[in-house]
Amino acid sequence: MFQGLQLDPTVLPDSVHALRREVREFVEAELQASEASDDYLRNSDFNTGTSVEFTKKLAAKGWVGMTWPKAYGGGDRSFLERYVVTEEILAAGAPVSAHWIADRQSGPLFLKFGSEAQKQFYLPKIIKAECFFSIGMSEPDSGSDLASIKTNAKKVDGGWLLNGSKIWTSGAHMNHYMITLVRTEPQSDNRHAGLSQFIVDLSDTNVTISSIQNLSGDRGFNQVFFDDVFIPDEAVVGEPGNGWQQVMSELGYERSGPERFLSAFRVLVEFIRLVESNPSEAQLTLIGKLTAHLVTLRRMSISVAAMLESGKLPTVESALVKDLGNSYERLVPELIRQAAPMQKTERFVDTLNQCILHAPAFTLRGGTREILRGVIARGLGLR
Amino acid sequence: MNEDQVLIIDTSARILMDLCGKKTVDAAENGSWAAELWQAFEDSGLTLAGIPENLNGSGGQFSDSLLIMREAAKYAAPIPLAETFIASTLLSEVQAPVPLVPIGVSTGSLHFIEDEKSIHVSGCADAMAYGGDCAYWLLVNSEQICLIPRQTSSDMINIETSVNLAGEPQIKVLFNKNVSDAKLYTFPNAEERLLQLGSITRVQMMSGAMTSMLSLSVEYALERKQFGRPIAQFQAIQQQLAVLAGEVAAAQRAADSLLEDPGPFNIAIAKSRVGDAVVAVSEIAHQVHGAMGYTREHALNLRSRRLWVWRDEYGAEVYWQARLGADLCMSGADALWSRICET
Repeated sequence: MFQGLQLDPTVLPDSVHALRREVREFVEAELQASEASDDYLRNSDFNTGTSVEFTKKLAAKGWVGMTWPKAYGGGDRSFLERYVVTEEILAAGAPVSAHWIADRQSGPLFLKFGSEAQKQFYLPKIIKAECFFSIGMSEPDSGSDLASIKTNAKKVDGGWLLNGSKIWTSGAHMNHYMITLVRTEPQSDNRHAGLSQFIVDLSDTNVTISSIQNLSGDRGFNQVFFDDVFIPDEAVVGEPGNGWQQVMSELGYERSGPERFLSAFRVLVEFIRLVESNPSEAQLTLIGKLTAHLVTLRRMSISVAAMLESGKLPTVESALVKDLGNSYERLVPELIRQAAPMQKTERFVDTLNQCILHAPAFTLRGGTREILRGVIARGLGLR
Repeated sequence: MNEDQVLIIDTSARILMDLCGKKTVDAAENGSWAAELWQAFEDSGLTLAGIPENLNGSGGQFSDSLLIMREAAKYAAPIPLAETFIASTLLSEVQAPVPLVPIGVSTGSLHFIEDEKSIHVSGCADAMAYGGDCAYWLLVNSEQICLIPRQTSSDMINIETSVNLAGEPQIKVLFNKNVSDAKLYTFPNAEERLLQLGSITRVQMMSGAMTSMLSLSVEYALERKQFGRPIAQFQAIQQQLAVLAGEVAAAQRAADSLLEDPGPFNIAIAKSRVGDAVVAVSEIAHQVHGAMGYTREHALNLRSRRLWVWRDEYGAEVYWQARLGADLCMSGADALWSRICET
């Protein structure tokens, strides 16, 4: 009827059951070991947990870059199999942010638009968890209005000279590279023209990384400054000037995955643990409600994953899943807080508090609620 | 959805477009049985879709009938497709033949005593939708189902007629009578099965009504001009309609899940989720329509009033959420994720 509202009732194939069991057992064993050794808090918010060690173990199991061609060291597995791996890891609350961007976005971008040399250089390194990526899109004066970015590059012999700044760059202080959206031609009437994607080496001495503390006290994101950074021609992804189209093609992957509705999942788990022996009617109702919404969101997200698998570009569907999913994960900690008993465990309180502190970001990162609803409205034919 | 089902939906939509305009629905709300509409569905084999042919049904799949009632709800069709589906499914589950007529279904506090010639029915059958228009009634208690021809008021039977807030006719029947031509079947946990089947129907119908309310709202926003331009151009309206679309898509995905797996856990999930969508959907659709949508004359209320009824029938969302919560607490915190993945 309307573009983007028809989510085919896909279910995961039976073939994923064995994979799911393997991932679940592996992650559980790893997390129990780390919980025993220190005060590790399980948290399904993918922005808050980083463990290079854990990522390397996942990579050793073949679960990083698992859908990519064997020629580059990938597993040639289906997108639905990757879906199972990612949701198992998130649901368990394992730290995933080291490889997350490279696995979800940078690798697929190389496969779609990158040169052969780029694929041969970067993909095997990502797969072995030797190289991590950041996304460089937002700038101090450009957030939702991405086409207004001012970071620019001038053509010089053999490459480009990059100047400007990116902000809210998660993990830039730990990662090796950043795929950076840059204006390579002056802005024209077509605002989306003249943008390009560069691979910026974050260890370059002309790159300055300045940490930004978020309200929880974490230092996950940064501002990154470029001062005459030389970008060789080989480090341009795709065609110069095609940056906007390339960025848009990433959005289906960026917006529809399980990380868009599982951020508060551990809060629900800990709430059940807290009340399961003697729940009130109101607590039971809340558990049922939150689970019913979660199951439905997961089904919608799997439907979009199947569309991606079949080569479609589900822009509106992805926006829909993200908007509903983010609204849900904002609601979970608030409703659970209201329904919690007076007597709480430390584990419950810590999990809830971490979620409350990070919740404001849920409806911002990867596209604000307002932008997503604009995309949906376009799908409805309203604009 | 398979090719047969595409055809079934097309056929249903054609009948509904021809025979289920607002006049038909209004007339039904004023007490007139939509005979022509029912007959067209019955003649096309759509009233007993999914019931095996050896029991007088049309054959096909269980999900066929769910798609039909979802389509019918888009037009607020004032006929007991859902009730007939529930009754015929219950009968088919005990391998009983099904009459090709509209069938009402009800439970309450009913007792059946069988002797050689007849069945003595006593107790009360509550809120039987379209009961006065159905040729047969299927009466349900905790362990039996009893199919009887429609009765009329007499010394032994008292029938009270009323309408719900959607204007759908319903009857309450008090029995103390020996009924001949009755068929009694043993059916363990029949009331629970009735609750499940009823919820399946309400989920489909709510999803259909919501889809139609979204279409009406978008059309209206594109047509209605204020401040010199269609209100669809205002971000305030766009953002609201995007929320509406999200709830409608979620409800539809939940309803779709019952096409594949109409098991108890899934039913609880679907009724919980779709029921939760009603407030946002009806609130936004009405807000976008302004005062026009508040009139009896506009078609929006035919859908919204039905949503407000259907959400409470066969267990409101809170009832199913509490049951689901109890089930999940039993399996425990660490099993939550695997329970979710089983669906």
